[in-house]
Amino acid sequence: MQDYLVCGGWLKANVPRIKAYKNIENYQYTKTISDAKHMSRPYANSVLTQKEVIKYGKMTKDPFGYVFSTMGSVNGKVKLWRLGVNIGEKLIWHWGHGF
Amino acid sequence: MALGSWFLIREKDKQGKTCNMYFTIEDPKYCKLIPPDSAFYLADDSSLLYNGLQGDFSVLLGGNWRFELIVDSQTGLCTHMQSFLKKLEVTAADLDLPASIKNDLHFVGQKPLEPGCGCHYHPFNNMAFWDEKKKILCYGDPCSKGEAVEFTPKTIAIVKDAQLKSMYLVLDCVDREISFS
Repeated sequence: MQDYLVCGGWLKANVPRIKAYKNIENYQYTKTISDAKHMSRPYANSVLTQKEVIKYGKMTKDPFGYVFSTMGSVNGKVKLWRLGVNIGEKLIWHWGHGF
Repeated sequence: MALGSWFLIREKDKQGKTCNMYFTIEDPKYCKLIPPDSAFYLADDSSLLYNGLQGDFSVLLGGNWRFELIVDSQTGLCTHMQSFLKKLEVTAADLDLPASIKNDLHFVGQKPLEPGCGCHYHPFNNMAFWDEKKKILCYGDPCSKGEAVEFTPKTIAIVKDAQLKSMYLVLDCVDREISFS
């Protein structure tokens, strides 16, 4: 087993990231993004992609929660992926690439 | 490089980015096909949705995820607005709907519009105004002047010099209580 060190400061600052990473599959989508048309967008319903974005993305505070954003490849092009979540309400309010 | 030159380049860069994204108003070709009873409705989670034509490209006005203009990626036709009202910061205002004409509104992006994708449209005032009496919600700058286009029932866009300035949403058909808390 490989040992590694995670300092307390990092853990404290990343509590929302850890909570979102562990529970994202149980979060609800707002109706604005859960309609069939929106969900037919490429990779829209991928929990794996969402976890990758949470894990590697930059975390910023939003008035309605947190936004995780990172560059990633989709259909052979590099796009900005953004995931907006409200951890208290277990809600995903924004999810997409390129915007 | 002199500081002045640097600012000049930055300013040109900003203008270039702005000018590459614009709106055009065209004769009513598609908007005639929209069911006249198309209107907004409020879901139980306070998502403000629309039951008219649908699109597959999102333009986030002012970069705000709540101000989502849906566009058909093939034609660039703006189909409707959708939003999420919970915790939306609104300023109470006495709003009047501008006199408008029914026309098609088209969005032209920096790159060809890709289905399922989206972009941020930044030359837009990132604010919301609410007239509770008239049930009018305005995104952007309510004082802005320009061409008023009703591109789909209950939605009026104000466009000036090919830039979108504000968007009026008429919510008088919404049967639920409209709350922003």
